[in-house]
Amino acid sequence: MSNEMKSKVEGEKRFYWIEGVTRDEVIRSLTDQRPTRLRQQGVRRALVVVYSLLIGFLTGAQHLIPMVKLRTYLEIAGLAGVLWLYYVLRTSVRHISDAPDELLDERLIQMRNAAYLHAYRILVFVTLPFIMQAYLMAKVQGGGFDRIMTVTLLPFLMLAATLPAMVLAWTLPTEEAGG
Amino acid sequence: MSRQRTEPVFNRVEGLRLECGLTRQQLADAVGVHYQTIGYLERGEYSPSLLLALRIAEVLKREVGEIFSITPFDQNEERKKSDE
Repeated sequence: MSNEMKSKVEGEKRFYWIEGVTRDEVIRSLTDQRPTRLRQQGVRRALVVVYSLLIGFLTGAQHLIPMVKLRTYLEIAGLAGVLWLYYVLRTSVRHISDAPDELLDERLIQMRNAAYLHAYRILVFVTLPFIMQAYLMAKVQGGGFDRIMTVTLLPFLMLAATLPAMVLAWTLPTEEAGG
Repeated sequence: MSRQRTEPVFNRVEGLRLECGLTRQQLADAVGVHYQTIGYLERGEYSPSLLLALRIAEVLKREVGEIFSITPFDQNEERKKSDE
């Protein structure tokens, strides 16, 4: 570990409010050289696909499952899965997508910024289906605000928050072993 | 973002690093970057900033031009021989 990185680790434990990460969390993630399947591109891409499907399920469950009780239990399980995969996806890309500049080197900063650029462009396209669903629920199905929040806004917010990590997880190659 | 393809930068970082008896992690620690950045650099998949290039040159005790070049290093050596 470099002296710069050591001083970062030994320094004040700091929580970056906008990024939603702690300094220790990012440094530990960046310096972790243990072999793990999360560093393989195929595994990361599978996580992205599963996460996308879960988001789609949470959004479309009301159309697919008419039984309210069953749908509620499945939605709760789906939401738990989304929250867990949110954490796993961020970990799989070493928290690069959520780290502030001061904890990254120049290459990682470029990588993170490029991920945000692609994520923003993707977000423009995926926003439309969510808006249409919210409109349909409000106007056609007469859904209440709390229902619209659960099936539309919440999955949308989770997707928007995770998109940069998803872009990185999809594009990063399988990592080489530690040097 | 530019539509122009990035011009490749050739380097001798790996060879000089091994001459100095350094691992990628040690070189990364010395210049303050992630060890994978050194790997990307050595494979020519990443071009360093001027500051990083200068730091690497300082650690490897060489001039920047001896480590990085916009032409392959074999061509550089042939050009030097023809000039002599």
